[in-house]
Amino acid sequence: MKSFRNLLIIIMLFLWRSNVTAQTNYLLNNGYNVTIHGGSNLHDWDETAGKVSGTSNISWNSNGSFNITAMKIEVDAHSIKSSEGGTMNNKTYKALKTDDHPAITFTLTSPLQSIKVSPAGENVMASGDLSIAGVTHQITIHAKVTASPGGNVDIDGSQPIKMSDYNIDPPTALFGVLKVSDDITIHFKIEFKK
Amino acid sequence: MKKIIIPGLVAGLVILILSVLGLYLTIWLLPGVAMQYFDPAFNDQASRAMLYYIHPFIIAMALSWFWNRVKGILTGSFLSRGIEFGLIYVLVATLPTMWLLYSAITVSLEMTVTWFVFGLLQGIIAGLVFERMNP
Repeated sequence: MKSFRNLLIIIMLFLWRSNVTAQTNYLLNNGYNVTIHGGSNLHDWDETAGKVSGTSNISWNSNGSFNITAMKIEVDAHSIKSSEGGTMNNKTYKALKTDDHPAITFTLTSPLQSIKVSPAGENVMASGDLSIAGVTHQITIHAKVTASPGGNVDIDGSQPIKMSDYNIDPPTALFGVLKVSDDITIHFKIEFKK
Repeated sequence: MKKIIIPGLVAGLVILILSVLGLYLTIWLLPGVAMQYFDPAFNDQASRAMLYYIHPFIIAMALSWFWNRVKGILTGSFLSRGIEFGLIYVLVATLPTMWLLYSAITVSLEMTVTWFVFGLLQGIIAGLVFERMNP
């Protein structure tokens, strides 16, 4: 009876070991593209983040799927450059309060489990904390995750947000007549590598 | 006194409408110039924006007093007296001020020209109002 119980434990451990491998730390690859798209009553504008860093913990399952158990992405707010040039950069830094809050961060709070590997990518909903200008909100990002078996993991998506939710006053000019829209969309295309 | 204040208030109201219209016209017709107003050199505090909307009355009151002093030397029709008054104002006050601003602070020539044209229109419109109300 005792040997049967030991055998059962060994079988269970084997099954568990064969299903989940150890977590691996992944780092954000340099080929990222993080942009912010917004509007105004003059025209639309875009800004690009020049410096983005990130880490994630990824484990691969025996069936080829994988889990993202942790992820943190950090955008250097001072590296954000506007398509409108230096004038708008200064407005952006002032709005984002970059002197006090130099980083915009997203931290995954719920692990993403059993993401399938497919050439077309897998749509996921990633819940996490987004911190901008010192204000943090729990958000759910819709993203597409693409990976090669055991290899790099690409995440691609966009997230609409309201500046006012993060206590950011949309920049104005011309005595309030020229207004930047409260709604912006953050587009991201990032890759994690071992 | 009444001959100065009432035309001054009316001219102030007309210039206020012109000022607000001018802001929207800048966005529609000169988007490149409008973008320059995002420069940190320009104040974006809502509380101080109100000062801009009060400025037409400051100018109009000063011009109304000035009109009352010089109207005797301005001759001709309604249009010519109003336009001449506007030109006097722009040559005496606006042109030297714009010259100084352009030489002293980082503003584009096109932006300075818009301010000059705006000053010219303010002077002419005020002159026409005064000519009608305090000939």
